[in-house]
Amino acid sequence: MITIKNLTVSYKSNKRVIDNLELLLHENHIHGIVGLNGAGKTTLLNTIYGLKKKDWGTITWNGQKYSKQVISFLPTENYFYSGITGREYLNLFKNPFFREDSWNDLFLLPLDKIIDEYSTGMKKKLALIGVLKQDKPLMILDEPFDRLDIETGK
Amino acid sequence: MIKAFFYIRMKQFIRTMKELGIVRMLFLLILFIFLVVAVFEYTSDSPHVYVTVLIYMAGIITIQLNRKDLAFLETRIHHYKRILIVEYMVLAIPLIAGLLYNHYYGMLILALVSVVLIPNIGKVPRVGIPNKLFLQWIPDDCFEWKAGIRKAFVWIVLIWTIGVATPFSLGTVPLAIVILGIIISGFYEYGEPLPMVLAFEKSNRRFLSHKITMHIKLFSVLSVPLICAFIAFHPDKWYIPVAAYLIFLSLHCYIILTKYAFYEPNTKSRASQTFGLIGILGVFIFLLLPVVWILAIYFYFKSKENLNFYLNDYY
Repeated sequence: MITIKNLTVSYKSNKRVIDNLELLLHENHIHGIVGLNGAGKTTLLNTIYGLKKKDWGTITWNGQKYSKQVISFLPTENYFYSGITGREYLNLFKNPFFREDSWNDLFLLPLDKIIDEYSTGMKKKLALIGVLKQDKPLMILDEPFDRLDIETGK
Repeated sequence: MIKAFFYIRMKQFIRTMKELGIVRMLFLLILFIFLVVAVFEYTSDSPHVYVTVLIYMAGIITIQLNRKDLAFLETRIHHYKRILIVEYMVLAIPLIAGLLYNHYYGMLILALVSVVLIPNIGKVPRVGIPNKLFLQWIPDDCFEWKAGIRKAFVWIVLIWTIGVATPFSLGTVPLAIVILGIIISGFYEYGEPLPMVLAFEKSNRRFLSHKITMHIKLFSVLSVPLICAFIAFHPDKWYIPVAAYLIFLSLHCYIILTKYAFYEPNTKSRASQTFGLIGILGVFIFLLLPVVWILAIYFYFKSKENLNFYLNDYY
């Protein structure tokens, strides 16, 4: 369980984006965060992952401090290194038990093609497979279904 | 439209200078003066002038081949090639001035004609490389090499083959190592996305050491056959290719460290590009080499500090 207590996050301009947030995220559950544009959803996820420093407050996992080693993170925008194939990208994540091709039966990606040739939706799918391959206890997905077709989103 | 374009270019230049800061700007200015002096020096005698013009034009061709704005210019501006000619002419001013000053008018005409013709060079189509033949030997960790070889495959194979096939000539092998070294130094200019850094699951120190070790291995695989072929024909001059190899190896380590000293996910850092350029100039202006080595030590600590923000959870 992730416990967030008194979390406050602001940007350089002293604009407080998250103010004294209290939140419990339970194990084996999927939690969705909904809000207006600019409400601080991405900031919250970045803070939980450790990419944004908090002003104060605590975030713990099962009552203890945690590290990036237990989280896989899918950012809003998915960038890829130009000139490598989808398979080469996935091979960076070491998980001998993960069957890329079985997962790809679901996503139907041309894994042996250069990523530059992928559409935006295909890139999102590839990033999702990358996150799944990391197989970590916590997954933070920022807009995971954005730009995906309806069938894949389901 | 052309006027507006040059206005944008001027704004871009001013913005870049502002980003660099006064100290780096001064350093760049000193470097530029060094470059101009070196060009004047190298264009003063007959064998060097040809090499200088060749390297200078190769540099401008590389810029033309790597431009990302060609499609934009082509669709928006009617006579876009005129813009390219003016830009390349500006870049060639030190060479033109050097050739004029040293009265090499034939080479001057050749350089001017080249500058006018270079904008006509189109994009080199990416060659489909049989994965199983070449790229399978490169570990997936070295994605910079995989991507770089895909982009410059034809040039790398051509230069390497010429080097290996003509070691009896004293100059070809060192020149091949120099050109390959310059091409390979371009592999590290783009900052990879964050998941690709985190995928290594290593601490900042181990991450850097892994990157450098893998690079040394791959560059050695490429260079050692060239060096061996050279030594077979000129055993008494073994130190020439070895020196070229070691200089480029140190330069590549410096470029890797520069990249991660200024690393931000998904970006091409201007500061790292500027310092990378200083490194490459160090190959031609030997006085700069010690500066590059000292900077490499400085950037090692700076890159460790910069990467620590992303990799602080790994050991």
